[in-house]
Amino acid sequence: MSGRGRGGGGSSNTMRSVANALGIARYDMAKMMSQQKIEPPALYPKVQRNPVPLEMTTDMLYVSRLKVELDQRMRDSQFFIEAEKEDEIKRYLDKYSIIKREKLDIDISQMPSELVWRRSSRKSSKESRAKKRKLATDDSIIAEKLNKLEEKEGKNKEEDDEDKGEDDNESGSEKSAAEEEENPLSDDDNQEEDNDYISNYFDNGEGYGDGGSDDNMDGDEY
Amino acid sequence: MGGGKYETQMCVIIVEDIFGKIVSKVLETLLNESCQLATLVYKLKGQIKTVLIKKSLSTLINFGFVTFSLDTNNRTTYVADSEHIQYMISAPRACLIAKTLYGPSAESICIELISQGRLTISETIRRIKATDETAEFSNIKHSFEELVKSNFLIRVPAVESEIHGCPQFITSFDPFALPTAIMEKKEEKVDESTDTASTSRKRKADSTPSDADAGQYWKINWSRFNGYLRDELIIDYLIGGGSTATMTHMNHKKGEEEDGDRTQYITQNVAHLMFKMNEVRAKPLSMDSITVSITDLQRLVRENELNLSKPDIEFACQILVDESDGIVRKVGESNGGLYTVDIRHAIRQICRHHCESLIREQFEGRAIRVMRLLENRHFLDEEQVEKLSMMSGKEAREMLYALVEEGYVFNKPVGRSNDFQPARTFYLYYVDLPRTVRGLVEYTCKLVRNLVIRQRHERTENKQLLDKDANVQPIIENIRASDQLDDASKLAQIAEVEEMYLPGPDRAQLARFRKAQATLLAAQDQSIRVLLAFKLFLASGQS
Repeated sequence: MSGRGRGGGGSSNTMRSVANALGIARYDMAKMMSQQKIEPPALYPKVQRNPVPLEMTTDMLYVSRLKVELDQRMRDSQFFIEAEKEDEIKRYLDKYSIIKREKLDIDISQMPSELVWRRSSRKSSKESRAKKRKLATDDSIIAEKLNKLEEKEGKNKEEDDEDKGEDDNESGSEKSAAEEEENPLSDDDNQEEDNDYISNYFDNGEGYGDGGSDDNMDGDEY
Repeated sequence: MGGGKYETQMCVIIVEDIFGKIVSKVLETLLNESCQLATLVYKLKGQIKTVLIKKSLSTLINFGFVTFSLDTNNRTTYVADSEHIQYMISAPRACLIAKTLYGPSAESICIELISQGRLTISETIRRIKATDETAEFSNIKHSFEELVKSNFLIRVPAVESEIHGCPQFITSFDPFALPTAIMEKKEEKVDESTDTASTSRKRKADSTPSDADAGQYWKINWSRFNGYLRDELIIDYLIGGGSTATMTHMNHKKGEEEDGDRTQYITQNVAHLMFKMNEVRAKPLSMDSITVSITDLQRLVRENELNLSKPDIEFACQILVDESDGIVRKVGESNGGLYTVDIRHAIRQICRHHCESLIREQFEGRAIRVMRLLENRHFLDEEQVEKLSMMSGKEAREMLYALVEEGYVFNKPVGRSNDFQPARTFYLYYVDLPRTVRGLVEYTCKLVRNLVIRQRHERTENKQLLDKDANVQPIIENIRASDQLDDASKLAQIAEVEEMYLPGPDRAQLARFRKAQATLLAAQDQSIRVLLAFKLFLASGQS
């Protein structure tokens, strides 16, 4: 058998000599070749003899009971991390099946600072407040702008209808642009913040295939 | 650390079983390739949120499953430690060891430390108090000290400084030095516990370090536990299973029994004492042989107050030398007789023993004959095997091919001519134990992985039954505890409740599940022991 592979497409003489050495008759060989199976072997082949049963001593029983307890404790502990399910149908029984876990509380001083997830959340809350302020100021800016434009409009009232129309369009477009700005602004802020944060520690360019991936990644976080 | 495919899968499954899918996914990525956080985030993009990745990593680091270090470019690189994950399987065994050696409070310390990864002493005491009201401070503290003294617990190195956001740990410190402030803290703790629980909670929330030993974390010293397990394996091999004695709790009682047991009692205890000698002087898991003299043993006998005289000890040593296949040897006459326990040889014998029992299970006794023959004579061709094993040509050949197929025996073609033409080539068969064992390590990992998966499957299958059972138990407890009923009506009520909630077939199913679960978990425990022996053998680097 082993010779067959080695012989490759060699002379049949070689194969025969190997077969002879293995004690396989010629017709056996032919029969075997024709019966070659293509399907994979059974996933659970029959065992020739039954395995020796495990002897359950008292300390093994104790160990298995303790293991059940330990595993259950682990699964109920703060360290069992689950994603929040969002798009699932809410059932009445859900609130009974939920296991109340402690909040994950690990001494951060032992960890690399890049792993601190809480600081980032605090940052973001501060950020959002700052953002709101910013937005408020932005609103006033927009209002000023609009006022100016209105004045302008009033001045140009006597001018051509086309011009007027253009002006309207202009102001309208600016308005919508300003409105649009509100949402992307927050994201932009976040991105900037995070990009800063990351580049502090690994500005290697590795792992970031392109600029787009950056955006997506940070989008995940919020 | 490099491991085989199944070793990785086993680790992932173990972690998935206790920490859930997210953590295991992060771990799997790290096991495949150690990398930085940014790379990790990139690899898991769209699958897991960054916050959850950070949380998972912190959890893994907390339990020692992942370690981190700065690379040459000052980036923090995370490396998964597959060895450490496997310890989770032997965790209950470690608790059992602690319990037999130092009592129940030592066990609860181990349980807390295992389920929390790392804790300060005061936090451990607080947690034990929370679960068990009757636990006493002095008792727990004493157990803790004992565990530390015997190196079963070890300090987590403190943070010295921080470079590029990666904490640097103190390298030179005594990992077994107990904080001196325990007593002060203990008193403090007494005050705290007498206070209302809310104040302590407030303190925690404020995260002001109320304990004197805050920040001084302890964890399980797994290599010490593994060393203990190794000694147990060797003693099991030397004396045979069923030895219930542990190294400090010698079976005193047996001494008074009849003579037949007396010999066993002596040999068991002497063997235990030999390993106990080593416990304090050598590093755990060191492969050096243990050397003991009769006088040393006599001293230990006196220390442990055992009922053994000098002739008894000499007798036991003689038995061990005669019966241990060269594991215990006599090396000199000084100090009443010098004996050595060859650990490397013992581990090798254990591995051989496992191989042989596997062969016996897969084939039959004659295959072992072939195997042993090859081991003694090294390189043999088919005809020689046939003659020396006294089997017919066909049988011997079939046996050899089967052994080659399963990886217990290997063959080496030696060509008479350059072209390796089969007719003019000798096929020499030989045994290469390390190679076989490497295969068996993978096989065992696969076994453990399958056991864990199967157990989880059983659990989910029977989840409803388990929930029901959990509901019924308190009701039954209530009935038992009530004073108004007499015993007969209590029993009747319990039977009624059981019948109502869990009818006969359900109860039978539950009992079957419990039995299956116990078997699966015990099998895990046993296979991890075997895995330990295999790994020690490979680590010892003998051929």
